[in-house]
Amino acid sequence: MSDPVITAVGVSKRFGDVKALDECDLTVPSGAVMTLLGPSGSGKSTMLRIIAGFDRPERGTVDIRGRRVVGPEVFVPPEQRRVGVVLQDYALFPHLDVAGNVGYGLARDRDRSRRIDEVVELVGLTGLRKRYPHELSGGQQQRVALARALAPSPDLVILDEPFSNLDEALRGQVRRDIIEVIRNASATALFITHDQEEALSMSDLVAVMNAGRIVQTAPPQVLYWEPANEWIASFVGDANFVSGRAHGGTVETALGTFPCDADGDIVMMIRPEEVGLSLANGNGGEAIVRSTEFFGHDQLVTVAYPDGTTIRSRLGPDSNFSPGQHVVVHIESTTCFPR
Amino acid sequence: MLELAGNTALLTVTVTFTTLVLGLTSAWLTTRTDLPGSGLWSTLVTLPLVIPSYVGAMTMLSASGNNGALTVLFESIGLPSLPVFQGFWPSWAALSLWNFSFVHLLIVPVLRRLDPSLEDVARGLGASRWKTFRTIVIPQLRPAIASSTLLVALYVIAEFGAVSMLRYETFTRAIYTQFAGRLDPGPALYLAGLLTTAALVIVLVQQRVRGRAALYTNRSTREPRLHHLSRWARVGAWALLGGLVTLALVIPVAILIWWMIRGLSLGNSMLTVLPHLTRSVLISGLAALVIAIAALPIGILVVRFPSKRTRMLESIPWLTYSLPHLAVGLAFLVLTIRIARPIYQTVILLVLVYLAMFLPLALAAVESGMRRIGPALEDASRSLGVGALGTLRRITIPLLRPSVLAGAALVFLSVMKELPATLLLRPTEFDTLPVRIWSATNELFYTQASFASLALIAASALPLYFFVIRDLHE
Repeated sequence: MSDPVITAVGVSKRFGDVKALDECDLTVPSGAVMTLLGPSGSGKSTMLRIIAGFDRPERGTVDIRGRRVVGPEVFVPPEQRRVGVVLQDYALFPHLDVAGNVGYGLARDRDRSRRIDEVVELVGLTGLRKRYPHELSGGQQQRVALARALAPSPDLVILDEPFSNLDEALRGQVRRDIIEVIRNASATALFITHDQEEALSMSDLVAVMNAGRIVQTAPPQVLYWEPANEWIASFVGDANFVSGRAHGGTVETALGTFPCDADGDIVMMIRPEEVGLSLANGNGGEAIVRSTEFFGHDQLVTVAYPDGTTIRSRLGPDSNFSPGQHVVVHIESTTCFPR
Repeated sequence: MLELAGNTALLTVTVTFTTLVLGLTSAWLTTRTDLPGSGLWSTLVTLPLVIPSYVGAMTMLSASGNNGALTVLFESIGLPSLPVFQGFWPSWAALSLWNFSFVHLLIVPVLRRLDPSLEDVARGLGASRWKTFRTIVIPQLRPAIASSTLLVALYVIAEFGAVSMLRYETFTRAIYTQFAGRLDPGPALYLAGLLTTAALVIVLVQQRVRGRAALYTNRSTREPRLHHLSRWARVGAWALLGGLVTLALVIPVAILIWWMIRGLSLGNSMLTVLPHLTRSVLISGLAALVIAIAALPIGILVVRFPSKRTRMLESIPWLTYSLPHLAVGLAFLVLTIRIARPIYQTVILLVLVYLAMFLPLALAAVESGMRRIGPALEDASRSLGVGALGTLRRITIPLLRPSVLAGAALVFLSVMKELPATLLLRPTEFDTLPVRIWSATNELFYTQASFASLALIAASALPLYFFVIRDLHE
């Protein structure tokens, strides 16, 4: 692979007394579909604005394909950065039709019209060239915004919460379509979202952000199974947490004894799908079923230990447990975090 | 001195109170009740705005007295003739009738925007209809009420044309009589200084209220709940609104038309006002163009780059806008005579004075347009490789065009009606329609005054309809 598209180092930005970004580092590899994931207020949008050139940080540097765009004494304006953005409300130009919007960033030469056709076709809007933004549905507007961002073949496209304005029912399909368009265009994309399921399902790489810093960057599977700390484990996916005291490679918990690398007070994470229930045997001790929630494709069963600790187990739709029933818990794998 | 202050204060307080009661009532009746034809009424009630107070005053003068239009009518059916309308009560009536529409215009959008779910919640918590109105609706209206009160008060203390015509001794009338026919502007300047101080106090109070008011704006997409009017309440509402429209619109227009017909039948030609109309339209158009062009960069700066300095840039024009036009005109006059003699009594000076007085109208329109556009479109344009100037040319300015036009229309309307500053600073023989109305009325040439008034009303009604009233009802 060539140079990373974005290399941001030590970026800090304050708004009044609030630290929006605190020594934030971010690398976006070339050709990746990457997601910046974080709860609201974690600094995601500020990072977008700094990479795109809409805001200046107080400290830190940003390079785009090895060229310094933000640094001491350096500030390259947004129009010279080759970073396309798809903003949350799409920001389509209301006085221009689809072709006018898509062609906005293209030089006025012979190739302009051909390129507009090409990109409009790429996003599947052929035939809507003459429509104005207010005559389009939400999904179509979003495709126009994406086409507009892709038209000048930018080094990077950043999409800010692109699916949050769409109906739940539409979202899955639109997401798959958009990812396909981006992959077909061989573009590098940085999605920004607070939705961890979205991040896990569509990215090659996820950067998790909290309180103005990137706390972990990893492929979705690694992030899910090997979160760097307790906060990430709870933010990404569903998890049970049990505290205990570790010593010499094992940890004592209410559920029993498990392997653990750390020493001292720890928190042990168990994903609900790693918790099995049976009537006969297991390594997780005995418990009583407290409640069951049935979702169709799976179900969540909450069990309680005699000391009051409760954990959740994700089971297939076929299992049949009822509240009050005595069960034996089996735990497949655990992860330890020092306290 | 004391008498002047007392007269001005009395008129200000009584007119402000009257317009407030009338404007609130008409606004509430037309937006929050099931009054049949409420949309039509709301438009009708704003129409008196096409009649400047001094034109209204002129119709009152020309209706009363020995040869007045109403006197003639009364005598023909055997009633006694009317005394000449002048002094306090006619001034009070004129300023109230031709200004309450401002209060209506300010209150209607606020009433529309009130979130009806707040009222529903209050009712759900067991509050009666009256208690809900008192504890939920009125507190939300308070900022709008306060700012319209101050606006009207500001207008009344600065009013010149109507009170002068109706011979009620206030500051403005005294300033003009002191000034007219004297070489030393000293006494007039002294009085103007006092008047300006009074206005400044009102402006300062108003700005505090305006600042707080922003907190209250509440967006609601739901239609407000309409109160049901009983049959008698409906008749009362019709009588009130109908009476207001009759007094403020139908009767004055009828009187103007009566004088016009009389004039025409005596062989006078309406073409005599053509030069005045041309001058008014030209100077108003020129001022609107210059002021809109000046407002564009300031509005963009103030909204996109908010800072202490740009906020100053914004508040200074508001200050001159709020000052009495007679005082502003006087100040410009003294200043140009001292330091810029060549532009004294030129069109350039007139346009400069209008710029000082009316810039905020265009500025407010540009600013609200800018706020509606929002920075995201400009960000998107920049990230597509178009620089700051290109973005301004291809995105910001095209999208601002309707706002700039609306602002220019407001300026045009205001300049069309402007009397005191024009009277003081116009080039010799450069009589505009308002100046013509003023001088014809003072010389009791009511036919001439009615020609000029009708021309003024016709020329300002069109832009008023297209850019102000239509917006309100959208």
